[in-house]
Amino acid sequence: MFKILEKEVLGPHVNKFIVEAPLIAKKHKPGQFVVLRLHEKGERIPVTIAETDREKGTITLIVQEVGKTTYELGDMEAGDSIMDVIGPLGKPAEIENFGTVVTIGGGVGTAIVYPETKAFKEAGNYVISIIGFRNKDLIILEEEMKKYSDELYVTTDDGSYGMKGFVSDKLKELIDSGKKIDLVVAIGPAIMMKVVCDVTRDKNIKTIVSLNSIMVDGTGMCGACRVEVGGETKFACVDGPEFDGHLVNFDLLLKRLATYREQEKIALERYLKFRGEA
Amino acid sequence: MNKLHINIGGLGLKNPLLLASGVWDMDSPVEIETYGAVILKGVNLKGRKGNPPPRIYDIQCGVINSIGLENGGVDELNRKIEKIKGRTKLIANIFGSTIEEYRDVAERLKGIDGIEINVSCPNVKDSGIAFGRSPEYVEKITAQVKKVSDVPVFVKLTPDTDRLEDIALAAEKAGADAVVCANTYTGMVIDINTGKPILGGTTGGVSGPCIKPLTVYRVWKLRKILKIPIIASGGIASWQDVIEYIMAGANAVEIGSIIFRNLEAGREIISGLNKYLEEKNIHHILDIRGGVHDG
Repeated sequence: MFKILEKEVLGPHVNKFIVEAPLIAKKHKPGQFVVLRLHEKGERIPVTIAETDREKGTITLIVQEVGKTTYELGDMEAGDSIMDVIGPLGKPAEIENFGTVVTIGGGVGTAIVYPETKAFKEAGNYVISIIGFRNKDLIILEEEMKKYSDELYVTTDDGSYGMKGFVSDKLKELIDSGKKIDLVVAIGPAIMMKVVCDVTRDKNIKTIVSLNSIMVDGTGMCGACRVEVGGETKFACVDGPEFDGHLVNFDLLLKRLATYREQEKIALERYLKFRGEA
Repeated sequence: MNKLHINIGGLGLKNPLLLASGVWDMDSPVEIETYGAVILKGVNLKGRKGNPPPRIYDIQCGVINSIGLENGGVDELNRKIEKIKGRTKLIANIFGSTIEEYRDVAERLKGIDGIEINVSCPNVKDSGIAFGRSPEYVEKITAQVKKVSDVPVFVKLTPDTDRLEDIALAAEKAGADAVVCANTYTGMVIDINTGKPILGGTTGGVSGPCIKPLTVYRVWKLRKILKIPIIASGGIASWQDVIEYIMAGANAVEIGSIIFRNLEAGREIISGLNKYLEEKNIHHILDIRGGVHDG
């Protein structure tokens, strides 16, 4: 059992958990994730580690409530325990001094790009961050990102905060202004990563994305997370989750992500009904 | 001295804890150095596409899977082995759709320390389990593989048969260095909302703590009739489970699905075993073996 030591509500349907997991904290590197299962009957979900504290033996998870399991996790409080937390899984992000790095976070993807932003800054890069949300109520980690960014831009879809538009619009603006960019790291919804890759492809700017395909065990066995990269089948869990975005077949990824949409909807409706909300 | 060091058919292992086939592949996060040996994913001559998803499903007290022996063929495996040699002892798990295919795969393998003949995968129709339910086929396949191999050969049995003893004796007669008791049990899960099977392959192999008593029974039964060592495999989640299997008559054990709940399971089991032997003042792990008689 893995005890939740602290819980903080960061925004509507976005929660932060500090979980006791000393071995995982010790081994973790930015970019890696865990697979967790809340209880004996729970499904497995992959969650990227946002931060670790090796001395305290804790990991920080930032999770958006989007389906049954993440809602159920959102209902847990400090003192509750998660049955299984397996990890760290996946290959760590490649962190070195590339020069100028643009890190992009879309929605709760900001929680994943945050530890990498910090690592890029510490490796000596000039770091420009762009984080985007649907509206100003959903903004997370702005202060934390600012701390490790030489420039930080916030976008909102509705213009209620920062620049109105998408992260890709801001990126395009930076590129068009003649800024020399050596690497882009974009983490967020699949469609956002696809659009970012479309922006950087013509300009030949290397773009790393973190793929969120469906996973079960997260250790390379089940094959649920298969993605097509450069014409080859790769497992996001053990070959990734980070890949060269220009080689990713995003259309296939988007199709596979929708495989269980109907079942996911039923499960969530049933859980909300159980909670008395629907 | 190392209280856990064992020898199976001439293969020396630093401890009796093996990682079962199917769990670990090249980039998997499990630290294979912890284990006496790792059994690699099943391989045939030319490779094979696996079953449609979903391929793994959690059940209460276990897991049901229907991977379908997906692999890239023996030549690709040889290239992989080249990269991991020396990390721990490596055992190949081989299968085929003909007796000759088993032999050819065994002949082509390079750089391995042992072979596990898979005649028990419940998730493929054209190879494996059909042979594994026939003592005659098991004998022929084992004999052919032995003829071309210079490493110890183990035969992984299916528990889904009423001829388990005959099949194990057939393997022994053909020169197997050990049997592995046993593979997963055929099972099925149904989505009651749709009335359809949950697994893409319709049926799957059941593993995990829920099958342990079934397999302990089979190990105990085989211990009475076999001269060769038994490697037990079925639902091990703790060091206590390992002790139970060794008391039933096993010389070594494989663990598998517990890894999906605890990546550190191997390390925890090894340290639990060492502590147990120390506290009980037992000289060597196999000193407790087969001590269980009819009640």
